[in-house]
Amino acid sequence: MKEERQTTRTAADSARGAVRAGAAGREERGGFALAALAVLLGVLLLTTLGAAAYRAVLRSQTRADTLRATLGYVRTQVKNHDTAGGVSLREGMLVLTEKSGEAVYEQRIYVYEGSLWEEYVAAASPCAPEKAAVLAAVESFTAELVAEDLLRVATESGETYIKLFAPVAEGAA
Amino acid sequence: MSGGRTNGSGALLLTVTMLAVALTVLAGVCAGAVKTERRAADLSEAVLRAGSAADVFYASETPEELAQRLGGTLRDGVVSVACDERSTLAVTLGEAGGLAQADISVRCAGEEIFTLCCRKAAERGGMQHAQ
Repeated sequence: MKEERQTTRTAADSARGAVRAGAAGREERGGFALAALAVLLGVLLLTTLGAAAYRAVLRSQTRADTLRATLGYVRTQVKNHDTAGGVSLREGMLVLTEKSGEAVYEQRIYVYEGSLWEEYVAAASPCAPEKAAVLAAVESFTAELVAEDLLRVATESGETYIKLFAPVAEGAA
Repeated sequence: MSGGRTNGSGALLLTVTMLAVALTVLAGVCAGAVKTERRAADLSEAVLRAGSAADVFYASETPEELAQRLGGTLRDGVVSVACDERSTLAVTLGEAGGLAQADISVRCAGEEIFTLCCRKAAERGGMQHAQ
């Protein structure tokens, strides 16, 4: 009887042990599943943050590129042509004139169909966008004299002021 | 059975750890690239802003005129301009060796990223009441 009772107790203990081990295994698997889910969520979060950061960088880069291509370039060109009669404003265009012997050439900068165009032609030629080159995509471009010797150039990306040492071409502004 | 489960758990733990390390390194590299790119863009804008402010300084005869043209405020010989939500421009007016001087500083996100010093003589519209 005693032996029988002993055997029954041992069997019951083993059964209890097996149940406990099974429960521990399930807990362990559950823990790892949670960890895997956390990693997955972390990856998703990082990807989203990375994409947002990339978009912000791209936007800032595009803005900087547009600034460099428009205002920076126009500044340099105006400074290069800052001679008597070299800079003038005509019908919304910024006109930079240079003389080579008796020939007179114009570099015209204007906005047309959502782009900033640069046209280099003989002074008497009519405006011909098909001969011009695109500098950058812009929605607006303004060049105006805010004082006798101060030119303001603006696009939607920003504005810049350029001091002119030579007077603007007579009657052009 | 138990040994197999332990090995499996160990492999999973190792994979998760390696993935976390790789992601952290990737995030660090991306953050560095973003910072560098943003700084380059900020610097590009700052140079343009400072150049523009210098030209306005050359073309203005009084500090008030300079402040008005730059769209800023004048206080104690310093013209402060809020360019956008991140950048500010400050033009400190002074005099050096009989010449009007402007120290132009562009700050971005609280950090000074570009400075420029320009001087002009009276015959080029020397600034009155600079100080």
